[in-house]
Amino acid sequence: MKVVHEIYDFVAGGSIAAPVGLAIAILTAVFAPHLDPTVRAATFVAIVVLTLAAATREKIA
Amino acid sequence: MNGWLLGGTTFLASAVEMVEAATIVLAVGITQGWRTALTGAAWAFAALAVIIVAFGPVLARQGAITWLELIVGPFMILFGITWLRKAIWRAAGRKAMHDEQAIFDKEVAMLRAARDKRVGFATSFQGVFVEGLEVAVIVVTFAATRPALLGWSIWGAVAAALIVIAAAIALRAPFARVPENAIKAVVGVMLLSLGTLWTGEGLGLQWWAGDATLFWFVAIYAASATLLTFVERKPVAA
Repeated sequence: MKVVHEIYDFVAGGSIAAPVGLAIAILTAVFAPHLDPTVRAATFVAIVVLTLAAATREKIA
Repeated sequence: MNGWLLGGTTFLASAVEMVEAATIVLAVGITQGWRTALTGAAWAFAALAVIIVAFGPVLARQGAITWLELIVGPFMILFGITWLRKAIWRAAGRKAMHDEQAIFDKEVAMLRAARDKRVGFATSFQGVFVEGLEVAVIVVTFAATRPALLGWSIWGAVAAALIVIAAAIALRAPFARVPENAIKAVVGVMLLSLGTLWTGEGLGLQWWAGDATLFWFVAIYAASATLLTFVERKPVAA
């Protein structure tokens, strides 16, 4: 369990918002093929920006 | 994709991590002798080289393929967010700046108390290995997505490590004045931008300016980081 925690900490820096936000961005891109390509790409970037904002607003561990 | 861009990113990432490693190597060198300090550092560099040599060329041989971009890209985004949010917190005053002098003083006190050369060796090895591991992972992941530019990313990382360690030994003082936080912010923006580009390619997204969309990302994330720094800034007490 400690090893998993160490890996998670190494990859995501202890953030919960970052992996969750990234998963939302990827799933949105995967499940929205009907969108205009530019809108789809822009939506992905917008969600990553929001993820950065959410990760920054998190409490410092 | 420009080799200078990838090489520059690994150079800056390696430089900032090696500033932290150099503080530890320096503390070992001054308290327990340069032979112990440099032997520990050399073994750590050898271990990092094994990681890069073992995984880099293997991934590079696969060619830049979609599924690799889909694995590597999200990792880069997470690394980028981690680097960038720490830089934002520090710039906004929510987290203390990295104080190399304080870390150096603490390490020297610990090593003087220990006296055992094995502690010095282990401290030097661990300092360089832990700080360098993230850079090694970045170099390897760059190899997976842009195989032709593997040499650029390796040489960027190696050049920075050699310059910083050599300078630290020559100066015999920790780098207290290096703008570590600004460099970390630049690396964070670059990792986030490259990660976005590669994840999008893996997902089949069509970037509006091809590879050049990377510069859009750099602008968007740099502007976002600047805005978030202002938002996060602690109010000054009257």
